[in-house]
Amino acid sequence: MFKHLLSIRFAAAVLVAISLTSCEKETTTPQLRKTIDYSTLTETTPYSSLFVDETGKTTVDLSNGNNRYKMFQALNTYISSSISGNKQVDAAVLKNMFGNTGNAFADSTKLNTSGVQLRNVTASSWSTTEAEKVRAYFETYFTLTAEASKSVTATAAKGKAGKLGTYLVDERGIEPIQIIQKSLIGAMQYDYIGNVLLTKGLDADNSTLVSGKNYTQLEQNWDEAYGLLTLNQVYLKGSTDATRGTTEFALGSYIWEYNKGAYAKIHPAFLKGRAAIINNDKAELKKQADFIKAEIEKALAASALGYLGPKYIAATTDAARAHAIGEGLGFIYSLRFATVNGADAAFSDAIIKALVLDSAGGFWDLTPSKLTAASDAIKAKFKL
Amino acid sequence: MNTFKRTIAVVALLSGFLWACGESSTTEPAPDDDSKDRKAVLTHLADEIILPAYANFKPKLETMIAKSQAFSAKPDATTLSEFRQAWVDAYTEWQKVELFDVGPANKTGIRNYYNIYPTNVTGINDYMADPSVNLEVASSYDKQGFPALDYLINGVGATDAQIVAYYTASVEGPKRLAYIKRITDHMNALITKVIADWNGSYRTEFTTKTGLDIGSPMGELVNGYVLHYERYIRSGKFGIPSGAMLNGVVASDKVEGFYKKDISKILAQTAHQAAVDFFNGKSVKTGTNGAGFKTYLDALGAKDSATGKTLSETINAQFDIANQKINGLKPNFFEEVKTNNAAMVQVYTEMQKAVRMLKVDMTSAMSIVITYTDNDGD
Repeated sequence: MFKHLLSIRFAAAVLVAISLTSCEKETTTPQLRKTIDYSTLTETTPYSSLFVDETGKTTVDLSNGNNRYKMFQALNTYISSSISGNKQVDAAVLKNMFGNTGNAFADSTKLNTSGVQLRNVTASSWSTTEAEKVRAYFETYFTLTAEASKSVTATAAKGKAGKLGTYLVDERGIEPIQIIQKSLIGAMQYDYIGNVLLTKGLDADNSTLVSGKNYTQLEQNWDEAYGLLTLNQVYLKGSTDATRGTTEFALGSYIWEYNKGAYAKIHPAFLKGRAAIINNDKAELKKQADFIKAEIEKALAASALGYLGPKYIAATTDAARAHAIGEGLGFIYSLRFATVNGADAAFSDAIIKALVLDSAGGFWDLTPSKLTAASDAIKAKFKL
Repeated sequence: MNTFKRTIAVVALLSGFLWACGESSTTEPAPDDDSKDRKAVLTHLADEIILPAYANFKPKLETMIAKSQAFSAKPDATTLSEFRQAWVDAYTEWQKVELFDVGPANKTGIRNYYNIYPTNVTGINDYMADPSVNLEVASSYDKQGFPALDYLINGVGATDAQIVAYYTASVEGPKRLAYIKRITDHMNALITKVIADWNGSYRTEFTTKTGLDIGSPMGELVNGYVLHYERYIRSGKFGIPSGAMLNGVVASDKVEGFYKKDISKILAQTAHQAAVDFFNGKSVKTGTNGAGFKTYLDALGAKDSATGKTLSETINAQFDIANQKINGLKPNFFEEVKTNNAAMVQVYTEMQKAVRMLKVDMTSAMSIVITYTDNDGD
């Protein structure tokens, strides 16, 4: 019986190899797990509950994704708390957190020994040369933040770094912390989830277990994506348009805030995709991956629009305006990874340049016409 | 109901995938029954309220500008008093259009250039000295518009003779007059653009894009309306000067019309009535109520859960209470804050109740998300 199965598996593998180039044909690969009936999945099915092996042992392992999520959170907390406590930021600490070197995280988190880092998955869908440029961009911003934080007790003004309200801005009125945080949402979270794990990652092996683990590489890829989006078993459980039902961070919270039409469908899509992996249902898997990517990109674009538009216009203080623009600039940077919509570095950079780099005053020289031009470019690209 | 919704969602999801296979995916708004009502509402609001209100405001502004030019040509007590009266008329009429924070007005941020107070006197003096400063940047908001003019024609001297002398001074006078010209020209350019954009493509966009998603005209209109009521009527005109919003720290110098003093009430009354009329879809042309937020809420069957009355009735009842409280005030809010502040705070309190109804009950009944507040807490 076992032999028989193996030979079927082999035959199927050959079949797959033959039909790889054809995208319409339904293919069969050897199935490792018991088929899951899609109808058993509900909006509130916990992510880890159904995906088990024949002995009932879980095949889900969210640790890699969750550990990167926590590193991002820790990095963000370190800069934010420094500023709120009027303390200088140390660029070396940030670099260590980014690359998981020098035991940068608290021992209790066990992140130092987790074996993962943020740096090597940042812009990792790009060539090494291009990816290194993005990583260097962040490291430059770590230095700029540290530099600006020397003025943490001063009040900022045009041409002068310091604090506006509770926010640290550089001499152009740009808030480096927001640039880092919102750019990482695209360059690290979305690029790794959308362009790596849910694109190339879908071609990973699904017929053999990774050595020493209870999952296939494909299963792990999907789990890493989910684990990098949220720490919760049911993403956005119990959320309404007005109130978020779970604690989410970074990308996970912006999908809720800026994609009201789809946030509730993200968890079901992750469940269905994971079930499709178990069922060897490649077509279904790709459908779910494509859906998740498209909806995340929509959220990223809408976030940028939200900060350039309503949040900036409605702000009544320089501090609130600078904060909105800092967030917006970070999201615009992130849009370069929105491959579904055909955005790229040139697209993002042109918008950022016209908004705040062409004029020496940066943020302080912003006008409604500059903001409108940026919004219009984003709307056109993302068909919003 | 829940299952039904889910089915629709699944169907929508599936059809989304179907399109994705064939062509480049275009997201069309899902057809729903409310969209017809919304088209009627938006069309009425545009044609019977927004565009006619702008059309009423523009000539008042033009008269004010003409009077400012007459004053500049020959600064004396007569031209000053005519300029001042035209300024009061235009400022009052402005209260009937400031609430349309949607489309062109939102894009240009016109309110920020028209009515940010208290005005910044030091800044105005700096700007007079440097005619090259950009009047579009955010730091210029509190140095222009009606509040800056308030200072320039009411606040630069204790008597009319002193004010005239301020402008006839040999070296500085012409610079001061030039600044009046700069800011009135800017006001004119902004309103001209807003009206032109409405008459251009925006009216069509406003009345045909009937979806509810973030950035849709209806979403933007409701957000702008609620924001206006909350921040620019409740807080700006009452909450901040009375100290109701600042732990009781009163700030009588933050009233609207601070230098003229006796117009705060008429400005606030006009603004509040405009918000009420807009809610009820009252035509600026005919004075009769038509399609608007009220009819739309009624069509949705929105009820006040506590009383079982319709939500629109409840909101209108609260508007009435706020109106009565405003009517009880004296014209000069600067004095009211000093001598009768409890009455100012009461207006704020009643308006706050209306804010809750508009911002929570109305928007949730309409399925519109409030986008102007920051929820992420960072």
